[in-house]
Amino acid sequence: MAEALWKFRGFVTDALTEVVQNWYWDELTKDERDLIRDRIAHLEHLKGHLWKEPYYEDFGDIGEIKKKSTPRGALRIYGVKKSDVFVLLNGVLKKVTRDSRGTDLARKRLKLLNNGRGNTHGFNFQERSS
Amino acid sequence: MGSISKKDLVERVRRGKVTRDQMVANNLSEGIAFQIQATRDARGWTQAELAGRAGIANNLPRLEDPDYGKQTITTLKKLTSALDVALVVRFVPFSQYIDWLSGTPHLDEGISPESLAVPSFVDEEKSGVFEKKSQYWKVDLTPEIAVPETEKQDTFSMASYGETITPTFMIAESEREMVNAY
Repeated sequence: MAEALWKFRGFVTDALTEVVQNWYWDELTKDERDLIRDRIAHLEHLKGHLWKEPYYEDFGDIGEIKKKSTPRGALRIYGVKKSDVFVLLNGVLKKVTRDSRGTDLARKRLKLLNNGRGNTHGFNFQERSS
Repeated sequence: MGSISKKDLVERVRRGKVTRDQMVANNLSEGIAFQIQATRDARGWTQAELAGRAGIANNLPRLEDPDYGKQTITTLKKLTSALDVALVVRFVPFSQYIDWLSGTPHLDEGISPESLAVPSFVDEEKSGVFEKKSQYWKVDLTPEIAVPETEKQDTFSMASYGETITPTFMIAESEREMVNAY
């Protein structure tokens, strides 16, 4: 398999909770995780300047990977680009057109990271091994 | 590690027909959209420029939307011509599809009875193909000519055999080495 252009990491709290990873495994169905995996499988090989709307929205400080239509609403993953790494800060699955709570939480976590609090871990898009 | 493992993909196709249908539709839609976008960008063309070259209405934003999923073969053929690339549209068995999605090396034998009459998922499951480890042949580059003991060397060099000899290589069935592609 060709080397990916992007690596994906997830936010970890000071208490070592992998909040986005847990959301991914615990809150989403397998079909929803499949949709994310399919999207990431392409995005990880796509040059950064090509990430754009409608599947990626750049808010300046953070960005949003978006999968518009799923039965339970829009899948949104907020994160920040740092060199060749996209750090996943928050994940949301909701039937809303604007998700200010989701972006607020992502920004809060970004601020923690920038202040040396919290950390990141290699994000695992695979199914959790039992 | 890539984001899609072969193990996960096998589990996914076994989840049921609805899941398999969604998997094919989703990856088709995503793949086409991202390919159009990345290939157009590699040419340094705008969306309008590609639309003009392809002779299609400028609906490139939709065609480059991975959630759109309604690209027609007619439009794809026009884009193919404009980008001066080839286009492959064919049915494949899920075992082959999974290898491709997971980046697993796969021996493609070209046009064959099997590639024309494609086995269904159920047929493949009955055959146990998903239980087998993926394999491809590691070619043994042993020259099919006698080499005097004095000329044998660890490093094979074409020059050792002179310019008039065209080396041929044997790939005997018994010498094929299965390579675990996981």
